[in-house]
Amino acid sequence: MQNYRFFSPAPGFLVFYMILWASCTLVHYILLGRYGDLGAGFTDLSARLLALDAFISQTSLFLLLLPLWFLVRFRKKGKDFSLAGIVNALVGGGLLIGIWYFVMREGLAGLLYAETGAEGFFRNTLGIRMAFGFLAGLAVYHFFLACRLHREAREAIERQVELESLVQQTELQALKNQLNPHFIYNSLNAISSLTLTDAEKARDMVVKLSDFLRYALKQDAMQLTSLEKEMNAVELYLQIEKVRFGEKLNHRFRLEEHDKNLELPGLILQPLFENAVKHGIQQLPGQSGPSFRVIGNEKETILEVSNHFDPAVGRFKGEGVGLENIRNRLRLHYGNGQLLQVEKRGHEFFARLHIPKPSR
Amino acid sequence: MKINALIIDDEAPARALIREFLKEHPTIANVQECADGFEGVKAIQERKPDLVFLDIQMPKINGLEMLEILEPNLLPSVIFVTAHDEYALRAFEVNAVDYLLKPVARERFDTAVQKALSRIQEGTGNQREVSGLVSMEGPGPRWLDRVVVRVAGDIHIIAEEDVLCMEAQDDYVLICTENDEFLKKKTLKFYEQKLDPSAFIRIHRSFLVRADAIQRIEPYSKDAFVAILKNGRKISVSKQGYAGLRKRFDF
Repeated sequence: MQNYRFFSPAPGFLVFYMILWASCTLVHYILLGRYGDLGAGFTDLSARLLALDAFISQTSLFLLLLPLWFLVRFRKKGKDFSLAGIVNALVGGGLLIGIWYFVMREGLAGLLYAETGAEGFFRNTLGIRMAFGFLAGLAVYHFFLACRLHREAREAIERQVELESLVQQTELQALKNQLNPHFIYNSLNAISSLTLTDAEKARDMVVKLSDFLRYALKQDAMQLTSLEKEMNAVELYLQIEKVRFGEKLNHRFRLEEHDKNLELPGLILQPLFENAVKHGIQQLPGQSGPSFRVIGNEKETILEVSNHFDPAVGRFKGEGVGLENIRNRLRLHYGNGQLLQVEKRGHEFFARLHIPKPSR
Repeated sequence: MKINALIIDDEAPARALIREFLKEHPTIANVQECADGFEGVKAIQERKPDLVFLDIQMPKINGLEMLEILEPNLLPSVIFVTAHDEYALRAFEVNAVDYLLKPVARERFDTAVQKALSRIQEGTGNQREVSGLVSMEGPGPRWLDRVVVRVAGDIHIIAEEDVLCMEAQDDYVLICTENDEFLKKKTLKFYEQKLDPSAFIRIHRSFLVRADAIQRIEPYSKDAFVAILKNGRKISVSKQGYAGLRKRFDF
């Protein structure tokens, strides 16, 4: 898609170029009419002849100027006034003028005016032709410059849009991956069971699952949420798991008042608790629960989720994807992929989120 | 004919649902429950149920690993009941009667039970089909991360990273770790395909070895070599195996 536009300047380029050419032809014609009497004796030149003159001169000029686009298009930025640039411009310009002069002399003086014996008219108007040709060339050069700027601006916008959609896709994917579908299916299955055995509990679980899903789906990938809201969602999640796994799951967190407003990406703590349940508590006999701590220092706030696990079964792969996902999201938000750290110490597993304090 | 059924699922509500659904099937008289794979293996050995409702993702060992370590003559008819759809292919490879997705619809459940009952009555319920007919490829974990074996009633979970080498022994594979050896009824070809090929290399018709467990390779005879592993174990390297090692380690 980028390729076919490689040489094309801007939409409507040819139309504008034709308009420019037509205007210059018209001005050329008027100029000739006005100064046609320079060096008397040629006043009987017909309008048709002058129009033909204007047409040949400007068409040849505009055809000769067309390749200039590529010079403008591929010239590197900031090289405008280098010595090489100036030499190039002088040589190129000189060559162009030479060719144009040759075409005009052969075409106009040699053919057009030779018939009527008015070669002198061409010689007399040479100065004005050249001066106007220079102005026309300058106009075309600036037109090309404008095309280039337009093109660059358009490309910049396209890149920006592309980048934004890429970021959005990545984030959306990341957010989608955070929500474990098996958790939803298993919860729905549990609800289905409860409708037969304990309708009240089923209703309660439907509400909790809905609240949790509402929170999860509401998370805007770009926006931050508060620790209080995130921990509410974690609480809902754990209560749902408790219905599924029974009294085995036992937890109690207390959130200090001053930590409640800490800002963090939404749904970033919950997967850590899910890991704690899946790889820790579920595998252990007897009651246990994940622990949660908030540790603050001047640079960052550390959120620590820990759980006991059975080293005999708890050290297999498979927990990597969820953690990788969290790292990716932290990278998107804070530009740092090292903000999640995990540690296994004896029978305990620690996951620590380092949330940077906003610089003031 | 009275049918004994066993429900193996780590979630109490999921077990209760199946129990509730089974009330519509009076032929299934005796229903028992287990909450994890270890219990499940024990219960199948002791009670020999005709029909098992089996979850896949469970603590300790999962449902598929459970079936792997049971003696073939003890294999009951199995209906998988799981929220994961990525194991369906593997489930049918172990000749499951059906594969139900959670949440389970009653009609779908009834069909599965009917199918199981007719299989049991025909006496084809617990015959394992020739494995390997169905491809194991499919979504889900790409490489095995552990091997579950049973030795005299005890279940061992061997992490993939602890396996040093595997040796083909007739219908079995001898799995060697640093200090232990375990026999499992599988083919070496199976493990060659299911273990991460960047970690394991086939160096002989009978040997699959963890590449970085090899400490030394010595010539043995004209065309054969012997590899010495980090625990001192010596295993044969064939001519092709040696070529493979040279390519892997670039020597």
